[in-house]
Amino acid sequence: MDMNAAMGYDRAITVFSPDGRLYQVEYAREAVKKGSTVIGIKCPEMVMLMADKRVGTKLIDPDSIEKIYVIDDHIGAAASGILADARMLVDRARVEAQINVLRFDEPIRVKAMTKRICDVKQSMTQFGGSRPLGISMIIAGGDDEGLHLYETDPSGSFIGVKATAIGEGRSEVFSILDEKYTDDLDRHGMTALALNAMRSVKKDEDLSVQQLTVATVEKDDTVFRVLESKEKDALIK
Amino acid sequence: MCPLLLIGETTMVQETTMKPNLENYEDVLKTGTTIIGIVCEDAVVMGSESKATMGNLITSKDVKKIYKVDDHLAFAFAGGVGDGQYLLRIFRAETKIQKMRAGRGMSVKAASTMLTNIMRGTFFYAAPIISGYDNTGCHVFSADMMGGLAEHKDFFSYGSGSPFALGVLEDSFREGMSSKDGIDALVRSLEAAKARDIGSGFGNQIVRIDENGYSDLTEDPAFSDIIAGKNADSRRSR
Repeated sequence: MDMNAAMGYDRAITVFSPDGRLYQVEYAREAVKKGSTVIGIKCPEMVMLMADKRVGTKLIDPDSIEKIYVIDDHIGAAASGILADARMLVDRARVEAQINVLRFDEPIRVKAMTKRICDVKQSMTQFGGSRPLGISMIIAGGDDEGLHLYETDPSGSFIGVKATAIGEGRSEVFSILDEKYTDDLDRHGMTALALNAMRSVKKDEDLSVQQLTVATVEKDDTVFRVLESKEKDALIK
Repeated sequence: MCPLLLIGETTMVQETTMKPNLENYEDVLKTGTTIIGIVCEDAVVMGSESKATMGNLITSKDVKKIYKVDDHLAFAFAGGVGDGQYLLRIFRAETKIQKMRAGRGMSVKAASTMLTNIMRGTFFYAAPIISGYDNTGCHVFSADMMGGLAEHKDFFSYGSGSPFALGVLEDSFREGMSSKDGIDALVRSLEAAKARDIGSGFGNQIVRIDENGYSDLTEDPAFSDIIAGKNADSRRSR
């Protein structure tokens, strides 16, 4: 206790500061702000995740970069921040999704999956020995209740969104989405809006959709798919 | 290292009160069913009949006994339905997780090994046949109730009808036979088993797996005559 008072309130995550903050969680949010941009966006017929691969040099093999993760047939996620933490969390999510199938012979609902993921994040902000996970995650999926898009942060809170962005481009994308997003976009309009936002973040007017990882869930078949080149081109037209 | 990722779920298995009793081993052969897997040149084919019995009562006439796992594996079992379905659920869940982790489906050998690792040390009243296609070709594996794995380069059968099916296959199987001939051999074996085993009966279910994936031919109109045994090249007229 005394040691904490001397060193400030940011050493142990299980300790609140006098003004009611958990500093480690806030520092984790800073880690997210340095991560590459991910946009999540929804329209009546489709929900989409668009992730910047952030390939800075020709020496990297872009195909080896995994930014969007499949969690089950009907749910996927993209993360921003410390991606090693994301990998661990996605693996837990995959197991949880299959536990649901084992127990109930039913695919897990997107909101329930989001809560489970957030429970893991929360448990790492309260119990001793571990640090918070330095990632925000956007979860996209479809179930019998429709299409869903959720944003989660390092504290383990989540919110349902129609459009959002995490990572370094968050505020820039938000200002574009605020202005231009409407509830009744079609898939092409939605893709164009997301692509323009990403171009603005990357300061590259010629950024092609082929340089990004894109995944979608369509209303009709609720299958989470990471798109191939042809499918990405089809969305641009 | 145990591949069990769903450890909280599968430790339920440890609570079973059935002790491994080798006398029960023969009972698996007596459970009413015939399931068969054949390795062909261009595909692996699997067949079963569709009768379910409880003592003298026929509880179902249209059971699907062959289950699709991932896109390239088929799973069927002889024995207790509860244990068999549980094994199937675990098989499906674990193969899916491994596929997402690795970015590609498991090989048939890897999936079978994983399943028998789970079965080892405890007693499942179910003996599975796993067949599938991977980048090394067509495979048929079987496991006994305590997780003993075997690969079959030609064919295998489990269930009360298996002695009759294996008899027909011993005579019909040719190495490198086409899947078309394999399906014909499956149908003849199933018809023989249904003719002589009281635990097997009603319609046939035929499944084919090749490089293009899994297809259940039972609903395919192009195969309905073949599967019904109308074209079976048999001395017995129908």
